[in-house]
Amino acid sequence: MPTNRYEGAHDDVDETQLVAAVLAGEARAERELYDRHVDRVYRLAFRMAGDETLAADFTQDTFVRAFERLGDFRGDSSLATWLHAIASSVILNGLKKVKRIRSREQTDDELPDVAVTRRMAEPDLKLKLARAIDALPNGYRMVFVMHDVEGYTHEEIGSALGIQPGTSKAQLFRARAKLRSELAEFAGEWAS
Amino acid sequence: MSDAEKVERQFEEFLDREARAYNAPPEIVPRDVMWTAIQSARSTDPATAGRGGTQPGAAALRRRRVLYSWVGMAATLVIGIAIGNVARGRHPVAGTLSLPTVANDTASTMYQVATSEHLARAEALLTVFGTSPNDAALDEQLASWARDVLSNTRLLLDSPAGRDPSRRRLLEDLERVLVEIVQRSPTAGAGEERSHIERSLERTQVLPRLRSAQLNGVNSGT
Repeated sequence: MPTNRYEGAHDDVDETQLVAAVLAGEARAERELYDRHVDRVYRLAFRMAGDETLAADFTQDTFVRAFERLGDFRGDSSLATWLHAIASSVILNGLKKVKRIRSREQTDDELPDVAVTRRMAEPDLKLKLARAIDALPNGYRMVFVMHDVEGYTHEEIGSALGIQPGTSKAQLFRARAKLRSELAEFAGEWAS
Repeated sequence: MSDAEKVERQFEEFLDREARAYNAPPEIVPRDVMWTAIQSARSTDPATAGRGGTQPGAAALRRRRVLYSWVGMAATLVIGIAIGNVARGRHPVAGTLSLPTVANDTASTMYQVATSEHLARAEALLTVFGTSPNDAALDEQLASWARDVLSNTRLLLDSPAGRDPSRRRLLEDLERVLVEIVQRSPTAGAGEERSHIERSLERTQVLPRLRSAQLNGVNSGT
């Protein structure tokens, strides 16, 4: 399992002062808050979007909203957790809109199934795995990416997505089961 | 250990090995570029610039709408060009889908849709350019936007959509104006360069021609 890259989430004392400074209108504090958290938010956005422009847009939107709503931050969770809750919402809603726009412009009648076409064209197992992850429902994919790819704990995922850690575990189990099923015909390759 | 457990374990080991390669982000996070965009979104939207508010960022949402439009636009263009290539018996461009059963009339419709959307976005860009104040952050965003529009203009010029003479003239004039916007220096002589671009717009009448082309259908470029 990858190491947990969610570190920096527990600088409670500094964090409280930093939030207060931002709320007091200190520009440097705003940038400091951004610098502390932007990399992790961007990584998650990029993993989910698979696209630099969308990842940047989701990240920007996350921080725009975070600064707008910082006055609502009560410190019940760490700032990182609070930011990730905003980021998760921005990313999932953003992906929905992108999917809606794409599907409006590419109807099923006009295009063959993208995932199937690509899968047949890509002999490499890693690419097959990537396509199978792409095909997961976004909720499962988010949990899978956060846990198996980025190394978040189920508690962190639960806080960010507003679900119980047990639900996060269940969704991860289902995501893995879907991937295993999707890649079953290649078991000889991934088992070797 | 049963066979099923063994397979399960092997699959988890495979995931542990390979999952981290999924959509691997770049080493360098574009912090400064994103920060500029965040600051710009907050400063250009007085309704949401205050701290502690609860309204979603209207500026951010506007930016996102533009971006999503572009995602769709790019997809439409790429698909349209792939269809056109297949219809003409050429190989599709790398990275696009092969659509061997699509008929010519579908290809033509796709080009018309792509062109129509493109002209609308070009018009939006030039309108914003003409009405926006001199502002370095905004100019940077406009240049980025113009770069995208320029790429798609060139794609259209190289596609069957660029064969119609009047539409081609319009796209070529649009291309020249876009190049000027993209190459504009945000610092040195910004006002002078803006005046030059405005004169180009005036001389070529690109903006009214874009509007006219949309009103009359994409086959008209004049």
